[in-house]
Amino acid sequence: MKEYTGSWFSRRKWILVGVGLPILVAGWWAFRPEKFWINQVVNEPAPFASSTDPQPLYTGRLEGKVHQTSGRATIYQTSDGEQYLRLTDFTTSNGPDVHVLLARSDDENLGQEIVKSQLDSVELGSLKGNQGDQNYDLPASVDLQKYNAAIIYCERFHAIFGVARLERF
Amino acid sequence: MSDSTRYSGWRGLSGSEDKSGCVAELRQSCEEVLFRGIALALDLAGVSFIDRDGIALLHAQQDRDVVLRNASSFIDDLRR
Repeated sequence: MKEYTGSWFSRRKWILVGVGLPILVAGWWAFRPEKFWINQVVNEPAPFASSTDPQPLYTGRLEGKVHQTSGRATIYQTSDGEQYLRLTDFTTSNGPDVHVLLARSDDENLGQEIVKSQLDSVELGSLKGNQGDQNYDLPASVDLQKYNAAIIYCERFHAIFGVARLERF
Repeated sequence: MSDSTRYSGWRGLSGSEDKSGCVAELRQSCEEVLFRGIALALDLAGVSFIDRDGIALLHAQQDRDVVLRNASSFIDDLRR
C-alpha cells in the first residue's frame, strides 16, 4: 500500500513538473518580471560635434500612457541629408520587446494605452535602454509630414508606453 | 559677487511650448545683472524646451562668461 502511494505521488510530482515548468518559463518569457526592477541605462552622445550640424527638424515632449514616460524626442538632419531620432532626458518603464516607432499623430490608437487595430508606423528599432539619451537612425524614405509622432511601444502586449507628438522646431 | 538666477518654473525658453516671451525677459534680466558687473550663473533646471532664439541667447551669455548650470541633455545638445 505504501509503495503504491509513493508511486502515485511520484508520478503526480513529475506530471506537475512537466506541465508547470513550461508554464512558468512561458510566463517568465512573456512578462519578464525582473525588468520591473532592473533599469537599463544608456548614455549615447549626440552624433555631432557642434550645434550647427545637424539641425533639429521636429521635437516633442514624451508623455506616458501605460507606464510613466518622460523626456524629449527630437529629429535631427545632418548636412548630407541623414536623419535620426534622439531621445534625451528619457525615462520609461523597462519591459519585454519594447520598440521605438514613428506613427501618425492623428492615429486613433495613440489616444489609447493598448493598440486594438492596425498601427500605421515606421519601425526604428528595439529600445536601447529604458533610461538615458539614445539615437535611432531614420529610414531615408520616411515621410515626416505623415509620421509625426514618436512612440515607445511594447510589441508583445501591444501597449503604448509613451508618445511624443512632434512639432516643427 | 555672484547672482544665480533660477528659471526652473518655466517649461521652456520661448517657442511653441511657451508663449510667455521669456527669452526677452531673460535677456533683460541678464543685461541688468551684467551691467552692474556681477558674475552671473543661470540655473536651467526644469527648462525642458528651448527654441532658436533661446539658443542664441544662451550662446551670447556664454560668450560673456555667464555660467549655465543643470541644463537638460536637449539644451546641452543645442548649445554646443
